[in-house]
Amino acid sequence: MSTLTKYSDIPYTGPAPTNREPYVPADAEKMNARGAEIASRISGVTQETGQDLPTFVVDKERIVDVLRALKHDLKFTLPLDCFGVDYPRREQRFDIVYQLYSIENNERVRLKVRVGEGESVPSSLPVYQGLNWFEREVFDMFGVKFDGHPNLRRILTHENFQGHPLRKDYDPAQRWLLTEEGVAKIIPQIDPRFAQEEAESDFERVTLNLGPSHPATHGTLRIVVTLDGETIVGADTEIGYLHRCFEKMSETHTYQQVIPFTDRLNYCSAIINNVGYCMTVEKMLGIQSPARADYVRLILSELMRIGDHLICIGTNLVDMGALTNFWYLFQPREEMYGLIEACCGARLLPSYLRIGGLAVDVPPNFLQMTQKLVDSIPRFLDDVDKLVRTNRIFRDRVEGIGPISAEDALDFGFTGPCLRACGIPYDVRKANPYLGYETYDFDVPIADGGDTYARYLVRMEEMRQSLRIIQQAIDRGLPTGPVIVDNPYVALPPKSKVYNEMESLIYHFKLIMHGIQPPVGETYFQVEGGNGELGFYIVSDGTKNPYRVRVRPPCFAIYQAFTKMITGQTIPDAIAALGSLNIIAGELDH
Amino acid sequence: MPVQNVDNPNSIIPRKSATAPGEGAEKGLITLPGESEREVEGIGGATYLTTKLDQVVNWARGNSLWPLPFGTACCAIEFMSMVSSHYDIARFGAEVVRFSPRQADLMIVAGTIVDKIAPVLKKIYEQMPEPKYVIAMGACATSGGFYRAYHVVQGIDEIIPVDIWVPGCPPTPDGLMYGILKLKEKIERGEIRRG
Amino acid sequence: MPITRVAPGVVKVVPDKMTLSQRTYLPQVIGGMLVTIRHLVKNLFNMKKLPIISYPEVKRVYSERFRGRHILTSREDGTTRCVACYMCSTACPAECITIEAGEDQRTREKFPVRYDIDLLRCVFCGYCVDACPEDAIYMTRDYEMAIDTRARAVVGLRDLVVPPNFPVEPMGWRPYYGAMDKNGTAGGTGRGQELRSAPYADDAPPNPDVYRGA
Repeated sequence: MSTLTKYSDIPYTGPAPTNREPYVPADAEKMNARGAEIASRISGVTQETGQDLPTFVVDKERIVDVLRALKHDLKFTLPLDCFGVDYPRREQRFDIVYQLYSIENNERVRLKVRVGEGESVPSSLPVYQGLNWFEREVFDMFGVKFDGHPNLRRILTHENFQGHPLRKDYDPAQRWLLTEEGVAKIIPQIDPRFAQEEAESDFERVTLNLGPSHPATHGTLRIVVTLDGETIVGADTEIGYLHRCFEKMSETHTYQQVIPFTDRLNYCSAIINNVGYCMTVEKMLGIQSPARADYVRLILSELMRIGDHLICIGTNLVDMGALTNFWYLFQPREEMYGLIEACCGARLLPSYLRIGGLAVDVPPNFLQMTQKLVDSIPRFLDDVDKLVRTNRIFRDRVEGIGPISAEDALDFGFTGPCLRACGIPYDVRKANPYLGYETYDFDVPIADGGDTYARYLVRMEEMRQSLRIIQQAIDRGLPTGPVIVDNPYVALPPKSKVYNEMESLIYHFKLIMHGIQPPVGETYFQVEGGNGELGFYIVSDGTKNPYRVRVRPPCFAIYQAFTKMITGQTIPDAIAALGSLNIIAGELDH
Repeated sequence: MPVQNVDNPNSIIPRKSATAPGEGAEKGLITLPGESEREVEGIGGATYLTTKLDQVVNWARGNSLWPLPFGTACCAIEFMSMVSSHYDIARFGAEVVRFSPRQADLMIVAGTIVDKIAPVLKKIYEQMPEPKYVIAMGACATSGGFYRAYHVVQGIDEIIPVDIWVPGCPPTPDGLMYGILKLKEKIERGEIRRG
Repeated sequence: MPITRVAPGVVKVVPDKMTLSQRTYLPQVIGGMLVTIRHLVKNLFNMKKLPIISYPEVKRVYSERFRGRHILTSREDGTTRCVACYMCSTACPAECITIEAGEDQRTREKFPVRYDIDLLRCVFCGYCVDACPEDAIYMTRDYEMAIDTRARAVVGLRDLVVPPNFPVEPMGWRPYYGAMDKNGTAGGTGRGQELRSAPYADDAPPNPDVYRGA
């Protein structure tokens, strides 16, 4: 019976959270010390203490210099994110937040630039070209201009859009219609390498539009290319065709209600998004989900990672004409959804996690079913490997296609399999283990070249490593105990108590009506998603709705390098490279 | 109610045998409004011969639906599940997935339609030859779902006509198949007359 | 695919050198054909083990947690259990539940005079079931919900309320599952009610804090 109880029998004895108390991160002191160390080496920054990362407030005039110093002197080579937060009551109402990561020192840093209405910030593109789209997004969402940005136009919303939706005074439901005449004409810039050749070329240059409804763009990406003969000499991409306003919607829903929205970010690996979001809120609340919940979260995350890679490789091969593999890869995926559905009640978007644990316990035959899956998946991987890995037709189509160098990949903010295919072994599960990943024996696969074939090899090997992790977890067995914390301010009391006890009914009512109210503050937490570092940055003002939820979508950073990757190649190469990047529109456009 | 299980040792997915869509343990207990027998539209005025011809044409149309998946988001993944190994839509003549609107007569709108892609959807619908049918799959396409937001179309019937609505977020592959079967039934009964 | 360890916890995947036979296309093509032919033959002689689910003749049995169409459960006397407390509509992220409350003149209890669920808006997250303090709303395993007009998708009390003897088999997401039950019997309608009434049995000591009238 003990393995089946949903809640522990030990009553919660901790204090009731008082509204609007400040958030004190567990490692605040360590971060303060590290922050002071960094501040002593960089001039012109003001340290903000009591944060979960070393945080500095920087004058907007100094930001490019500070970024440059951080990149070159302190090895913060990976630009993670740049986004805005709006505080309308402040005189300088916008915070432009930069987050950087250093792979060598395994540390993160956060910079804040405060700007007022109508002011602009110098663009950081000379330092990190990977912040290109992030700056465009800030411009689109908040209307903060970046001086010196070469292409500062709207990115997620459309051309007829008025106003800046993530400002607090923007009505979340205010729509603007786009007519066919309003669609912007995109003319790609010619790559400098090909700029002079036009006169010598025998061909007239043709501009060709791919998408957004094109089978190889999987629905929602638009690529405009200029061709010289068959060679792509210039390309531009347009995104935002699936901009579902995740961040604005999070602000209008309670912390619990955001969980179904996070499902729909990277819908191929929904549970990983749930894990990322729930763990961020848990970090803020200072609670730890029970061992049993962590165990199930880990197994399901790894299964979802396998599913994500299966879809990526399957559809990538379909785009190249290898339809059989699609069926070989979708067969185990469908079986996998049998397991997910048996646990969570839905196949693709389970909304299984709750803040503090899981919605319900796993079914009694969970481990047997998982074992059966783990036993069956390698067979399909081997079949696909036999069909394509050494097949010369496949190799000719993917080797050397869509290459990116390790330096460029870092500069563009690549994470996940695409970065590992360039030879950089950065994996959040190793660098900052969560859910007990540090206790499992697994390897991070890397490959050389950063081309489509390398990405295929890394993904295949990663699936095998995930299977290894799941096998070890199965061998350890399901931990006993509850699957959700016994804290009535976070988790709903069990139904038997709600029906029977007045006190539990009141807690139940309070939690539904008033929601979870984390302390006031901000925090960032990252997990390894299917495509790379999936981070959530949450600002709480102590009310039931998040003040700001920022998701760091790994695809977004990766896709902005796409034009660079395909220039000089042909259209079929572009299709092959696009599939191998695994661009999930829900995450890309959030 | 007795359920006959059809076990497959290779699969962890349990199955049962049933007879018809919508039938099983649920039948009779849960019915959606309008689910029961509906009046077939009167065909008064038509001569015997043209009526028969109509029936043959409708039968042919209903059994050769060529879908164009306008897949944008999560529902597109479930659509892929429907055309992959566990489900067999070819039995109903609808497996020929065409990405060119000129070669398709059933548009399955799978996924959120946002304002930015709305003109594209309209254009593609207009490019399809008659007769054409539209299935709106999933919460977002049918009504915007829980995205009551500044950039999301609140149901594609703002833009194009819809024949079948499939609720679910996303609908299961069998739920979508049920929608296709229902559309087929409607076409064969001559309830949809266009083109 | 040779795999070499380059650092602790990091392995490097090195592409194989193409052998002569691989370079000449044909052996590889034949090898690939063998894989597909093996699958074909295996499937031909093993039709029972095909993964296919021939909907609608064979249906997938979704688990007892499946989140399908909603139902409203009834008490033994046939009245609906819902007390129109608005918890489900508050918890719903899609705001797809519309409730209007009325008062029973005889028992002074609240009950819904209108309870509409917009199935098209609903995202089937199950939050309404989790939020219900009265064991009144469940989800079923019914996924066959294609609708031909938008108006029909808004289901009201007439379509949602099921009789008290509603069987357990089609039940989906609900507060209690069969395996979680102490007796090993299936959960379902009535189980919550049973739990609910247990401590209020006659021999339970009266709570001195409760005002019971003069």
